[in-house]
Amino acid sequence: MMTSHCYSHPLIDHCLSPTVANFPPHFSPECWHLLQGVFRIMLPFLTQMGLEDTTHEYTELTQKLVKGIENLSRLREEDIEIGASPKDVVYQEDKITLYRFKPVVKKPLAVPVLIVYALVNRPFMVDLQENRSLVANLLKLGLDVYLIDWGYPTRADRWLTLDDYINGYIDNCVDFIRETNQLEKVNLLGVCQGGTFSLCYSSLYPEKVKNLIVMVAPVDFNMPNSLLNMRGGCTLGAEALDVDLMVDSLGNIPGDYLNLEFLMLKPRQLGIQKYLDFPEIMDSEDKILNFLRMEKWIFDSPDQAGETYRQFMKDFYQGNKLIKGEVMIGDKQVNLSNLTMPILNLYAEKDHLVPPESSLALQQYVTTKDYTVQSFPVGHIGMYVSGKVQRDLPPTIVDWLKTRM
Amino acid sequence: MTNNNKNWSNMASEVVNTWTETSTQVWRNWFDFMGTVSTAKPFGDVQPELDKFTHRYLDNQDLWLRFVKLSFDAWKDIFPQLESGGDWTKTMSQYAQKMREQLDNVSHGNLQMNQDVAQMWQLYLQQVQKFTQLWLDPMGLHLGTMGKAATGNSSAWIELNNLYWNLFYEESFGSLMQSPILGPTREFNGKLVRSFEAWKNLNQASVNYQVVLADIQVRSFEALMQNLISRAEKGEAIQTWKQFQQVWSEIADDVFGEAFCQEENLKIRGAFLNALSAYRLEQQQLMELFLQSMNMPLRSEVDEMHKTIYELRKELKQLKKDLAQKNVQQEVTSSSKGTKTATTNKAEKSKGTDA
Repeated sequence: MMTSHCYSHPLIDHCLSPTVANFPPHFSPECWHLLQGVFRIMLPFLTQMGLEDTTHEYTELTQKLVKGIENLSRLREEDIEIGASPKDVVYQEDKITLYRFKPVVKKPLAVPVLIVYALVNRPFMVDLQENRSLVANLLKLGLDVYLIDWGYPTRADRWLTLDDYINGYIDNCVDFIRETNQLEKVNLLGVCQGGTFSLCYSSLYPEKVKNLIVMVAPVDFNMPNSLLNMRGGCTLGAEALDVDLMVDSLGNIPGDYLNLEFLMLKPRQLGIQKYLDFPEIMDSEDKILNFLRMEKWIFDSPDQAGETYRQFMKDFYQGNKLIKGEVMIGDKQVNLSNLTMPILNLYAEKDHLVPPESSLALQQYVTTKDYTVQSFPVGHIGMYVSGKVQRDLPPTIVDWLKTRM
Repeated sequence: MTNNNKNWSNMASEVVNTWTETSTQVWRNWFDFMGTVSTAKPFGDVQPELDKFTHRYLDNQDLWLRFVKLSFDAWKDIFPQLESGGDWTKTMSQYAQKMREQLDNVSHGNLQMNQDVAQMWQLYLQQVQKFTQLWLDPMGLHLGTMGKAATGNSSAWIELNNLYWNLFYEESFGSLMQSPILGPTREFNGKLVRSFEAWKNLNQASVNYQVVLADIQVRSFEALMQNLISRAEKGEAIQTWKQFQQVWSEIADDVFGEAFCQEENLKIRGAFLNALSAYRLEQQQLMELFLQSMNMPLRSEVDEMHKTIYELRKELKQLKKDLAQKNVQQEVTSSSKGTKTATTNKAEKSKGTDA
């Protein structure tokens, strides 16, 4: 049982104080003291969350809102552009574009890094804004960085398969970089689903990959405690999601559907609470800009080419074929034991999209003798936006690469 | 004293109401504002979509805030009993029951809607195919059964919903609907009937899914109350309305996540998504008939065209690659031939010189 003295409340204390001028004079201080005790017992709600506090909270919020509306009215779409680092288009094929970021050191490392991002969302998360950019930090530390932008697939791209993405686009980009730089091999940095693609590519073309870095990349898809994997059908298969039916009916999978799926992993926090918290930061233009940039990135979701989605969901999420060595990319079989190059596996400890165990499984299936694993105490998105990670992650990558050039 | 107490409670409720209404209003204004800014019109092109989104968002938020407020009210009632050592569990059960009753009303409404719309379809098909009144009697029976089966348990609603479709529909009208159709309109009516079947499956799956979602809401409410009680027992009071909302959100998401890691719930969700896809496919079939009659290009024709272009493009890329490779090989061969010839000539020349 609880005692009432825990619930002293300044507003009640103030209102029931005998010194308050308009209180009836015939109540003695003892009487008021007694009354205070009674109030505390009878009004536990108010002593937990006081009227005064609530009013104060509301007033502060209103002030922030007023300032926030002022801030918002000054902002325009161009203020929240993503992809801050200067870059050149060096290669184009169909809807994909290969960018080379302008090096910022006189003599970058001889072997460039090709960043392979996921098909979900835009790749510019790695270059979100000037002070929160993995790319900018890698450039500063002396890397020569390339990035594949997958573009926005339309209905005409519905028939693209993983074969086109991996044996086609990625291979062509790698060949372009090799030819341009007159190199036998390049470094690959695969992020999220792009990490899984990089694993497939490196196992198919080990002769073209010098070092492989994978970041928050799913490897083992049978994760019964992960909502994303469970919904994808890692245990139930088509009973959880009939991918064939979905692709047949939709053609391409709409980006909005994927957005909803990701929001529904934490529907209250991501769908509602985040916006209820927004007024709290509205008085700061910088914070609004950060918030809006994230919003832009989150909801700027390209559709997924239908046949690619079909194969990825069925073979990877539902069949877990990557670790079984059963994935076929075109007519080539992916075997993770072909991965003999040095591998750096980076994962997020609090990742709710790619559970750490899923990434960590990689070690069991590769044959490389040079395998490094490094974790960061953040979630999936924190890997790109956390200030602490942006301080520690780029040097981790660059130092690791420098010792392997 | 009682009056004072009442006044305080009223004031507190007033503040909570104001807060929830204000936050909704703020968002409504914010969306309106974003949609109507006239200077740069950054979102001008998406105004209709934005309106739809705004309404969907606000509806959802309204619902959420109402639910939060109900939880908040429940906590106000439960806390005094917890403090005085009284039986707070009874009050909590009453609130949970109250929520379940609301959920039952929603489920009842959905079922009623199923019946109404299904009846309209049935009447239409009666006209088209001269079907009999086979379906009306089971529907009448169903109304009676439903009242008895509504026990407040969410699984009962799912069973009832399935019972409704499987027993009353499938075994009477449903089986008749699946039989081959006769006459010149056979193909069209066949598609129509299959579309209705898919729609029926979607409705059934949708109601089941809604029941699971609503049940999760109730369970998250119970989890919230447990959490608040355990906090209060540790002396960790909730200090602000914002903190209350945050706690509520985190708990609700945890309950939601756990619920959908359970296979039975995943199957219900999967059935809903799959029924949605199946219904869309059937819709497309009907749409194609319509477009065909209007002499318009069909989705399937466009897809077929895209596929052909894709395959040709892929073939072309491969041919280009092969050609480039052949050229390189040829160059290597000819240059090595050239070298060989040059070497031979040189050798012969030196041979001649030697001779």
